[in-house]
Amino acid sequence: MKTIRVLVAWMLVAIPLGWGVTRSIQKALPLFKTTASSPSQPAIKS
Amino acid sequence: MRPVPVFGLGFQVRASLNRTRSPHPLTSVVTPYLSPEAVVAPVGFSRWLVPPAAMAVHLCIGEVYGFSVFNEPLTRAIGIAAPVAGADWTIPQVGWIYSIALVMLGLSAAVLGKWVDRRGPRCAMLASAGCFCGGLLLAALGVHWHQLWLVYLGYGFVGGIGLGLGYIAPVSTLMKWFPDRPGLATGLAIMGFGGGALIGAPLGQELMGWFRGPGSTGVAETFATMAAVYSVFMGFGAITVRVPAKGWRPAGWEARGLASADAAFAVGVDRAWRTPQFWLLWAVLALNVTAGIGILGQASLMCQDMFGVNATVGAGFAGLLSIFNMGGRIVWSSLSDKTGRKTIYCLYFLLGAALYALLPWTQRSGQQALFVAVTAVIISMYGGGFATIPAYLRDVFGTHQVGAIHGRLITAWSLAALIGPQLVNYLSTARKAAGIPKAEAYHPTLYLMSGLLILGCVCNLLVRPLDPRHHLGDGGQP
Repeated sequence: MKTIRVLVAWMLVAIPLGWGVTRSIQKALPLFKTTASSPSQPAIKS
Repeated sequence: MRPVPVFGLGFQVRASLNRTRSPHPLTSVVTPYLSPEAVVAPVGFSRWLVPPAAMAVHLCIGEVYGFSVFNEPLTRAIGIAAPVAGADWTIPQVGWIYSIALVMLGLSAAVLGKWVDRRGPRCAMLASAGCFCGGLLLAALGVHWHQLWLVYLGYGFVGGIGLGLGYIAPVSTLMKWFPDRPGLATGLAIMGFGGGALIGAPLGQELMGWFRGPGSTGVAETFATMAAVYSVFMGFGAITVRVPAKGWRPAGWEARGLASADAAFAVGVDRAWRTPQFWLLWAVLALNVTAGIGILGQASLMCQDMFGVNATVGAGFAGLLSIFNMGGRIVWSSLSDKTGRKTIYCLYFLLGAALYALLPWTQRSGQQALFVAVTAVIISMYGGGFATIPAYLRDVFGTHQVGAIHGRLITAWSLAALIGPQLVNYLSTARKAAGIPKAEAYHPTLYLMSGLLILGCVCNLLVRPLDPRHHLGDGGQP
């Protein structure tokens, strides 16, 4: 009973937090799809 | 029956005194529930219930970090589709809501810290919920009636008091439950505050989208809904939290050295803040926060200026940093239980200074991925600094009034929150105005942040164990 109570308490905070983290990761994905280039100096071409 | 005079007073006076002593029926039910004695854990209570209780409160009040999602909609509360010049609020006017809330956070934590320690975590958490959720409701009315002063009063002033109370309320309780791992304990709670924006910002956007209509931006309805949802979560935290019984300690754990729970190591807040150790730790927090918040507040724009990415990518970068800000709080703070607090702060400062100095090179060489990785580590250590400071205070001053001492130290955060972003703004804007390319405008600021962190390292190294003359001893008087 005590273990279930602890699990429920953790899930109550973990579920909304997990939702928030997932949303932020989705938002951050475009960052990794962009080609690196510096506006003041072009990227070195191989 | 003949009335009995009491010390020469007549019967009527005595009856009147009796009336004032009889408690209101509601008071007699509520007061014992809120008393510190009612919060003492029964035998068999699991200490692992306390971190989710603390996180429930911190995840809610941490919503303030995501307040920027309301800025733009608040500027078109009248025009709805677009701001109406002269009638709608402006961005600088709206910006004050967040600033007032953060200033009140620091002030209320400093002023009410002793009250929080005296009344216990349940009472403080409920007061925090009342102020924070009540403030959201007042702000909702302010938006509905388009009265900016009411939004300042609600979200900024009243809500800000809720932030301060809620921030410090569970911290000392957690350290009492986890004397064997105080860094982990405070990391868990303060991680919640960092994670609050990750929930609050998307929740705010979802709700505004839900309530938006031809006659409303949905902000007032969103504030009211958030007040209802957050009051349930914060109520759960207040109902669940318990303090350990006097003399309780984890099975198989023995107090030793400065980590001792012995009253002989306890220091009162009024004595603590007159010691050099307090002010050195104040400087440690202020310098760590100044360096981190400067980059965190400008993350999106800095990424756009330095690498020429668009606003969507810049926003993604800011979101990524929020995750590392949250994760660093638990990871670094837990690690401090193994390394010791002074060592971990030396790592934050020295590694942080080196990484800040590396950032201009990542821009010059077009290493965007490296730039992202380096800033993520810097921000994780910024979060780690927040989460580790209560455990550091406990090592130096004991757990007796560590909540109140932590409350006074938080004024360093308020100050740094004002200075950090201004430093970045001022220096980068001045350089852009001088004709320097946007991509290079941030370089001196980054070197300055590196220098601030080295200064922080010096302050950290100067922290010495407290002279025993400051300890309370058995007398209990500071």
